[in-house]
Amino acid sequence: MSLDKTFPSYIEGYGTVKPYAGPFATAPSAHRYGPKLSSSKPGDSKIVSNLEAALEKSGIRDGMTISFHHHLRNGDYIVNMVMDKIAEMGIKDITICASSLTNAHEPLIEHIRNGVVTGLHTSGLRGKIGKAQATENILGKPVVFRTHGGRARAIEAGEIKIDIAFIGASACDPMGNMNGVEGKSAFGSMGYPMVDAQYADKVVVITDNICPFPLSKIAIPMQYVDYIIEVESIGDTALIATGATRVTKNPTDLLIAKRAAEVLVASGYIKEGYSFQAGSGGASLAVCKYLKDYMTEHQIVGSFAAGGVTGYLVELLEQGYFKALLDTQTFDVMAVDSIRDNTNHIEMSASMYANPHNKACSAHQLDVMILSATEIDTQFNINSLTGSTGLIMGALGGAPDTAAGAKLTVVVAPTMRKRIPIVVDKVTNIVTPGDTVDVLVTERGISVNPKRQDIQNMLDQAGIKTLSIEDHLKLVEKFTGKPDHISYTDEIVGVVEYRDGTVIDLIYKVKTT
Amino acid sequence: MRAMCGTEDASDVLVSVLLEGRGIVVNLKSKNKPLFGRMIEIAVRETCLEMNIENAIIEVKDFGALDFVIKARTKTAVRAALKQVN
Amino acid sequence: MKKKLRRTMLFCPANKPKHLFTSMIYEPDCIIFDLEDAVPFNEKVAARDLLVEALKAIDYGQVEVFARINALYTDFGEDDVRALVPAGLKRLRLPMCESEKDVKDLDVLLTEIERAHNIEVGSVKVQCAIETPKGVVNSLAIAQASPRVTSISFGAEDFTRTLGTDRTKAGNELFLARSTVALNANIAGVDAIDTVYADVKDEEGFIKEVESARNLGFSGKSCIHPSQVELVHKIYTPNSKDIEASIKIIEAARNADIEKGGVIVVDGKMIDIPVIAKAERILELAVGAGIQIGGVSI
Repeated sequence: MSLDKTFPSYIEGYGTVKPYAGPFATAPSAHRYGPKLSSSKPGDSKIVSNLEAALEKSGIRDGMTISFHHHLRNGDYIVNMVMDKIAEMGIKDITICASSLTNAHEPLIEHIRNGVVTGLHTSGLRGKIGKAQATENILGKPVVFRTHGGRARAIEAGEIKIDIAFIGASACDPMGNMNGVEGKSAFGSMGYPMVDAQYADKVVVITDNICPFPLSKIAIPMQYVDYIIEVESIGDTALIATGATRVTKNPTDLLIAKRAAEVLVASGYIKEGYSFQAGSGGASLAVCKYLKDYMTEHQIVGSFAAGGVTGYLVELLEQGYFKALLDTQTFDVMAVDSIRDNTNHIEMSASMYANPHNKACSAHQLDVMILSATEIDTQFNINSLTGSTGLIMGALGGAPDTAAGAKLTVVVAPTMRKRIPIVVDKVTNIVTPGDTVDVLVTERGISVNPKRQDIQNMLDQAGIKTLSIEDHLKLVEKFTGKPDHISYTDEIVGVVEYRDGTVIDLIYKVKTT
Repeated sequence: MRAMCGTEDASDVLVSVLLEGRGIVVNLKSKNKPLFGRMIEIAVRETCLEMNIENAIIEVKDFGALDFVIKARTKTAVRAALKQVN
Repeated sequence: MKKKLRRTMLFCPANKPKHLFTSMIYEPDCIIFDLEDAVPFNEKVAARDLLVEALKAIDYGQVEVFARINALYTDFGEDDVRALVPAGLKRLRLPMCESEKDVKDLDVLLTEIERAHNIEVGSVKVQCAIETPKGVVNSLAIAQASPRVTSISFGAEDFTRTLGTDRTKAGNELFLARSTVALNANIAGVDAIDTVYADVKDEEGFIKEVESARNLGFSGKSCIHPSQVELVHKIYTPNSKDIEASIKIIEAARNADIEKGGVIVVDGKMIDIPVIAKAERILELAVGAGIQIGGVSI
């Protein structure tokens, strides 16, 4: 199904626009991209004395595209370390292709203002950079937003060509075999750069832990690595991985989670061998808590749970509720220990996770997906990228990928946050199309996408009360009032790609008075 | 002296009232201003009208309050201001 | 007419804006917005203004909304009533009720306010809080003091304080008082609501206390956390065996003319009016718990 939106056929700073045509409507035709061939000789050394030398050897120059991954999250030192050095070397016009950007990356704003960075491809953008791009277009061209699966696809398809990939590793041997599970800065899965390493012309590993050759646990092997530099620290360990993520105590979130679990049970998907994914925050993770009770009672064992993996999912694995965890990004210390030690906790690349244009991905094997949302509209479209005031303050993540893949996609969200309604007439930006979203559960009700009459019938039979999404909206607006419309200029500051590379929405510059 | 009511908690609002000046002046600070600024101001003015207040300078620091909270906090702050005057 | 269930009364401090528009999502039978003990002295007026505006603006749906006002002998009690009733409040909880006179005083005040605002006289109902030994002893007179009284509640904290003892988990010090309140409520034909259980984390202790209150004859429990609401509802949900037996009794009663001295026998047992009343109560609780009862309307 196409959307009732029209896009220009060409966008300056982005290129030709292929509009979104439906979750699986657009198929690829080209060949996979290949990076330049390399060669090695016995006796080669990859360890370079410092970052500047590594940059020079990699041939850094104006106009290049470089890539980063966000596994070090708010503790990441790598992006700022590399960008400061590039700026110091007088290099300009760099395009950054990051798996995502966090609050740790706010110093980028200066590099953008100074022309060092002129292109940005990412899953998300927050804080000062998100605000500055939405209100000032500091980049001077649109940021390209891709899903985790979409990024892997774009790299494999050569739609974005990485000149140099920078990979942070918490353990690396002198030839470049590396992992993220050992060492003081351990962060877990290396799911995102697994793709970058295979398709970048040059790969630079930055590590704070050089281990003897050969490293025994290898996430990314040496055949992809050009240079290695050793630094004091790749990140702030306190911010890389926090203690075990606990299930929320917020009574509203718990109520939403409980209702969502009831919906899942009534829909018939919670049975022997089912697969499950949920976001790590608030109500999403709490759904597991209630499912666990049901699984115990009915002696159900699931096949796999996936996604950003938290200590809570690890507990479910260890207690035998699921047979395996598939992990692209590890969220806490407990999960880092698990992925290192438990063979049923499996590290997977972003391509294996969610790329729609390869030969299979885990997102397509999901029975149930639990998503959160910043906004959801009466067409069940979800926004998780922009705020209702038009600022860029979120991410696509794997939501569009998993929603498309799962047999049942349930959105859990409160009806409002600080007066801002979550259920809206039209989302500020479409990130996950309503075609792929089945049920909304809030603290005030449950709405089923009319496309899923089968689910509606199951819930009716189970005696679960539902209301139409339109009534859900009315209910919310009775509390919040109808918000005023935000005015935008016609300047495009962001392009939201669907996972297949089509354009699903455009972000326009907010008019500020 | 300003009379105040409310808190800086989420979903609350801090209203301070000075019974001075000419007409009702509302100075609003809110992250929600582009969405609800107009409605918040209406709520404050309606409350003043209801309480027969014609001249006041009202500072509104909003943290995502619903209209009924805006009205209640304004009402209490105006009451306190009137008490000070008398 | 179907009787309103009052299994749960969820206490919410009225000075916190968020509670005023979120508490109903937990689906308690009743919410009780507190202007009394939970609100500090310097926030009494602000909390009252908040509650007044909330009552005007918010739709609480099926939930019965109460306000616990300040006692009438305080500086705030009368103003609470004068502000809340015109704003639409229909249920008041009067704290520290010790005698018939406390109720009659409120009755007079309510009648005056109802008349002044064109509100049907007598439409505002009252729950009397029995919180002292004197109140316990007078609880029958209190419950019968006015047709406005639809329920009486027991408050253990003030009770033990007045008695000069401490509240224990076993609760022996409360046994006579709770029983008296429950019995007198039954005699007066009003609901009896049990005291709060303060240790929110002690689920097991809470369940035990609710079960004992139900067995003593209480219609419901005061709750101080949303998590307690569901537990109470579960305890007050009859089991399927009792529901089936009750359906049989009601159907048998309907087919016989018991008023004229007809004798009903169900499964070899004689059925009289109290048995029918109990069966009705069980079915009310079942319906309240969302259980579908085919064919029998109550």
